[in-house]
Amino acid sequence: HQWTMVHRRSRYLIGSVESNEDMLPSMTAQVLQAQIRSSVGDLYGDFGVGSVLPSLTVKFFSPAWRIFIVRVDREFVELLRSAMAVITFIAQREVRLHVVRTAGSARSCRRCAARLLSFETSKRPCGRQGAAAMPPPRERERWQELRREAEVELARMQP
Amino acid sequence: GQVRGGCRLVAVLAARALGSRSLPSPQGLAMPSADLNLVSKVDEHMQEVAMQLGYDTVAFASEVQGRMSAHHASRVPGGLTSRVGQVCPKLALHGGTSHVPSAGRLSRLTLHVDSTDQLRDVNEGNRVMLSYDLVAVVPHTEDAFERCCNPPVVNSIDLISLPMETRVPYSLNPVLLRKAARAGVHFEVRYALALRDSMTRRHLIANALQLKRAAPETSIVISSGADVGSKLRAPLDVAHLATLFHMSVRLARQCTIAHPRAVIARAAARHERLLGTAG
Repeated sequence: HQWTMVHRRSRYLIGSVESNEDMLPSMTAQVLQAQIRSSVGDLYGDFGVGSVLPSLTVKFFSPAWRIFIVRVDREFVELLRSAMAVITFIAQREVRLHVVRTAGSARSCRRCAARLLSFETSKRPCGRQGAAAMPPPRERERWQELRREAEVELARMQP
Repeated sequence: GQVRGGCRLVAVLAARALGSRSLPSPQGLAMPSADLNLVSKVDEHMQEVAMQLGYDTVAFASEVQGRMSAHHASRVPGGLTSRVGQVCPKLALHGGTSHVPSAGRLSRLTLHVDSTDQLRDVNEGNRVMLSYDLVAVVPHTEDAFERCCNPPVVNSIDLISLPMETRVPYSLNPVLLRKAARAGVHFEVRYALALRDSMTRRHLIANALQLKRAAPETSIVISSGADVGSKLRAPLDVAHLATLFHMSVRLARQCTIAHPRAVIARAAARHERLLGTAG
């Protein structure tokens, strides 16, 4: 026998969860994944869910910075993005899922997510230069700690 | 093609020079989009949300049921009427939108009609209509729809927005739609309906599919029809949402970029013709 490896081509959707609230503590990667799967089911039925189920995974989600990375097979990217566009509520909170980038490999995905993370953190008072109003030190430390956690989790993300 | 490629290269280099503080989203690199239907009075917050999502032009709509009267006139100065001389219709119509300056905020009149009597006042010289930048009609009956697709009404309106919340109560005659498209009118699909309940979404998909089959593709415009900022979606997300209507992503992108620009250019040309050069 000569076994040939079938290369599964995935796409990584990097985006942000936009909401009126600062933090989304009740939202986790599992909750997000369940909502996306439910939205696919609403739009495309059993066929849609069956198609994306093997490959749909939320690889990274930060409730503090509201950044997510979703992986799916290449052929179902459009299906998934249309399902994500119609999501209006997650965990009883009104949200909007905004996909910023689509990456083809885990490495480019991590690079883009890191840039998005630094873009989001620059909007927060973490002690960077140019912050309009400096918050109390304890709050600054808290945001810096959250940022470090997100960076570590991103670096550990498996393809 | 080379000009557009050069513009993209400049945008990428500029974004890199700015560093991590500016994240060049796909929307930022592509041509700016327009949302021609925000169902709200002028709302700074909503406009800001739209700009952050990647829209450079928004139109706030005032809804009128039945016949117009003088008190329906717009009290807010239009963004288009003050920039009449700057919009180049030819470039917009040929898709060369990179040279068309953005109009920012526009005013729009949405007229809901269910009989031909209510269209009696719809003509080019109507002062109430001229006080708005864009004029759209929502025909709820077949007679009203037929009237909208023929002169003189078709020459005085910019958009025909079909009532897609429920099944459209008349058949979409391709001959009529082509005739209206040749006159320059566009047909609008409101994607915020897909964010409501399941039944509304099914009706929207069915009606949008019928429209896509019957109308020329270049005459379709996708706008939000949103009354709150949370119902707005970024242009590229709208393009993928529009795949529900069996549109390609490429066509859907044109429906949020080039086609709205053509609507604005046509409206500007009409204002210039009727009101003269802005001075």
